[in-house]
Amino acid sequence: MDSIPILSLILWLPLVAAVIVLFLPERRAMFAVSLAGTVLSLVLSVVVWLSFEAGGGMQFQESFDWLPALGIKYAIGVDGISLLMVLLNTFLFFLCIVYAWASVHDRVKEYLFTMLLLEVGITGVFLALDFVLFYVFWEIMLIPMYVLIGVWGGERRVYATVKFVLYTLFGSLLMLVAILALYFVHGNTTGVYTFDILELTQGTYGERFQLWAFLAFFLAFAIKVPMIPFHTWLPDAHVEAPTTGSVILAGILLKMGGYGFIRFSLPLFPDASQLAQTAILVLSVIAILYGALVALMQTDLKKLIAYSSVSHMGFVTLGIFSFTQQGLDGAMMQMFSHGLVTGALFLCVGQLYERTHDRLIANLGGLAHRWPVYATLLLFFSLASIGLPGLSGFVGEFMVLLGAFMNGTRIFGVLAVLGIILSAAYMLWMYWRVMLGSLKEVHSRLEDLTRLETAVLVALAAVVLWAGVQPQLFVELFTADTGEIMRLLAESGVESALIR
Amino acid sequence: MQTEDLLSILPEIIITLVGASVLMVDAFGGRRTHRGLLGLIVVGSVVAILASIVLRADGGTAFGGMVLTDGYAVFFKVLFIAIAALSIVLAFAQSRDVPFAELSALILFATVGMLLLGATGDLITLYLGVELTSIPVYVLVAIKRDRFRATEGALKYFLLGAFASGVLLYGIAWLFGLTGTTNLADISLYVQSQGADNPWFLLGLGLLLVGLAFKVAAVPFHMWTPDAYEGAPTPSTAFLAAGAKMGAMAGLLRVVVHGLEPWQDMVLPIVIAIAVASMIVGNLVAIWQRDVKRLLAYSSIAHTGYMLVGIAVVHAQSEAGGLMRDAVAAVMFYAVVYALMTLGAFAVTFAVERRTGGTDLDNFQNLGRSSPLMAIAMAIFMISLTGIPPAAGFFGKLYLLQVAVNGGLTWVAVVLVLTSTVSAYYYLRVVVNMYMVDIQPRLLPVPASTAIGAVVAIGMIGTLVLGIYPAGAVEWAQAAFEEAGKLAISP
Repeated sequence: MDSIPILSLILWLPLVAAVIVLFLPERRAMFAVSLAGTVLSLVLSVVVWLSFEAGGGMQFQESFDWLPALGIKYAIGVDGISLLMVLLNTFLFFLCIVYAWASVHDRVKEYLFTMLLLEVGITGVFLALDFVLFYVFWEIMLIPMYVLIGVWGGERRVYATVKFVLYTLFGSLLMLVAILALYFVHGNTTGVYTFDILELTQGTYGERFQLWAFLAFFLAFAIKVPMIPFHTWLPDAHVEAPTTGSVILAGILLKMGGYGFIRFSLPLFPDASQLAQTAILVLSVIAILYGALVALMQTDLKKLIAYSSVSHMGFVTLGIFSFTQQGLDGAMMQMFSHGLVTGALFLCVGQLYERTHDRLIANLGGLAHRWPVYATLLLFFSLASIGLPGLSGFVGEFMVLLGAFMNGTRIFGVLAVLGIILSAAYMLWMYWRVMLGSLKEVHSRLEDLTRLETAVLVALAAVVLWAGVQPQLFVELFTADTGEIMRLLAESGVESALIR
Repeated sequence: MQTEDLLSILPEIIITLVGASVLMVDAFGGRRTHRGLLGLIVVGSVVAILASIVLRADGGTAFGGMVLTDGYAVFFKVLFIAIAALSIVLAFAQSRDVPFAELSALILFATVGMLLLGATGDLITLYLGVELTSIPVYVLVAIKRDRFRATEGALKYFLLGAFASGVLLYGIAWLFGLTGTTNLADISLYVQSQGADNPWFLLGLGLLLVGLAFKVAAVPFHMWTPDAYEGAPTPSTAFLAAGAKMGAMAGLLRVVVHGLEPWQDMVLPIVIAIAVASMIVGNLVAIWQRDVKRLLAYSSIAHTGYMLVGIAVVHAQSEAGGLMRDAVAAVMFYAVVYALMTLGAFAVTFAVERRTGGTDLDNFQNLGRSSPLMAIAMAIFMISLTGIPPAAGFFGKLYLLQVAVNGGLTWVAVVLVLTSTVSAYYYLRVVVNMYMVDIQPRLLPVPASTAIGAVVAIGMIGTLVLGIYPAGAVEWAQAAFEEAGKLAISP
């Protein structure tokens, strides 16, 4: 297996497909090639998963000089943390392309090209082991997302997409300066000038520097997650994005923020992380409660799901900054689960909108009578979003709460539990208003889900159920690697890390 | 004067001869010869590029140290001749409306000045280069003399430019009076032995820097830029931005590297102030521009600011070492990247102008549907100018940021990235107009000419190649500096 650059294949196959798509004349052929690219990526990442040795650190590494004059390498690899994200990524992209086959008819070639490019960018973020390479992928995915929202989006798409780009660029460019500063600070103290992520995370840095660099990284990640008060781009982007855009946005893009906190902020800047802990926990709890309350008030379905994302991602940051093993593992599971569930919910909303051309809750009602299959699946995902035991959402939230309680100040855990209650309120109320009650006259002739649409949602539901019933299978994948981060934290004297 | 001296300026001589023969052929042959002239210019440029590569004498000097023939000079010679040739190819598409032969000859003569600027080892050569570049460019701006905007822009440019040249010369005179020499290396030596306490040095230096800052269009000496860029026919604007300005940049960098090291403490704050002002003013004012040529003019002011950041740290202290080499190489690499993306952007703007009759943002509407290749190229140039990978602009900025951080100017690096965020807004507005506006596709009476297409293609391919694999160009720039550096240390 060593001789085959399997990670590079996962990373670049979508790009190969994208380039082929440019030269194809026919819609069918374009979709076939795109599907082939995403399926191969998915299959290969499953192969990696099967031959992955949990707890074995970084594996399947590849490394070549890219710009030796500046010390930049093309270095990629996976550990459990990134592997889970890559699996989520390739899985969701595969489903999005399948879904798009039935639903996208406008500028198909450009659409597929954009989607495949987006997949390359996001996969690259999770695989990169060189800081500049990481940054390159982090920025590359901006452009396709910008195009996706701007070209196939709703009425206020230009406003939404420009806002999205400016917000993200603002955060990430400051991170670039911090990366460069890190390069020199590490080099000046150890004599080794490198962008190697693994080597840099092993280093120790002065507290003053940690604080500034942490702040720069924090801005980039907090905007991506998004944490309150950096979340205002999210509802706009979600409402205007096309369905698959929303799925990718909520499903994976937001995870890049959480991944960044786990992979970079904690091990690189443990002292600064500890200093910022309370502030970030407060922001997380605010996000959980505020997101839920605002979701409760929404009249637009997509906005409701968007704000529920803010709330759910609050659990992720809460878990990470509880500095406990359970909290970190819970954050990972919560990211995985949120990717699947919210992705599915956005697909549901998209299907609803395609039929009714309406997303306003007040204009809908009684749809369960016409659409039994749809009603069942939407109920399933709503319950998963609430965190029903036995489904994936429960695992993540439970572990995060466990971590939050174990970490000295219990008030955060207590408040976060309220968020779960609120989530039950807004999801079930939404379901009641949209699916139950009396059917509106205008909707009386609409068809239920097609077989293809059902298959996509059932595939997602299966994984949600799987992760809910057998969470150990997924947790085992990354728990050794999160444990390693906990060890690094403990070494730098972060106290709550000692609580196991 | 010896044969070696003449050989060392052979590229300059070739370009001059080509320019002169273009004028002669046109005088006797008229319009029919345009195609032949273009061929002559392209062949002449290739020969001149080859001559500069073949005839490079490592660390050599000519004309008693007035002209240097090191790798640095060769690097810029190759770049400048290529820029001139591409600008002329672009102008060829317009040969019915503007006098093609005169325009080409002017571009070629200005190029000779730029070549001298890259090779300058003496303040007199510097001045010669600056004037030789400026005077043909004044005419280039006004070449459509019946257009009001052209004459307005050219007059502003000329009046302010002539004044700036005077200031530059006055500064040179002060430095000569104080040190007794105009040779850059000798000035540096003099100050090292005699000290630089004399406050009059500051005056001479300041005048010198002001004169050059005007030529590279840095704030607050940028007032002429938007009017000149807007008034000039688009191919001239392309040359103005990618060529003439980079020529002055090459001269400025040379002066800073060779002559100003002892005055680092005085020069650093001045250059940083100009750089920061250029980044902020250029990027902020660009937001309000509706005309793409004016927009690119302000953006070019901002890019001057980015490059000045690299120039500021040339002599700064660094723990990591190798800063001078990296700072110079970063500016050189950025000059290549900037030339590629700017030429490309103006070429697309030119195509749009010829189709729709204007260069307003509205004229770009729906270009994505009506002319997908031009639109994708323009999008790539805009992404590159913003500094987002995988376009070359990213590595250009990355390298500049790296030297800024290495030189202890982290706060300037922060200003650079913050203003870059602002720039994303106006660059993306061009993309928005091309792809995200719902109107009926415009009718396109004029098909894109091969000439414009060729320039766009070269710009696009270059931008992408340097964005994906920048190693070759960066290493070339670094190697080119190694030789120039030797000169700076041991004159």
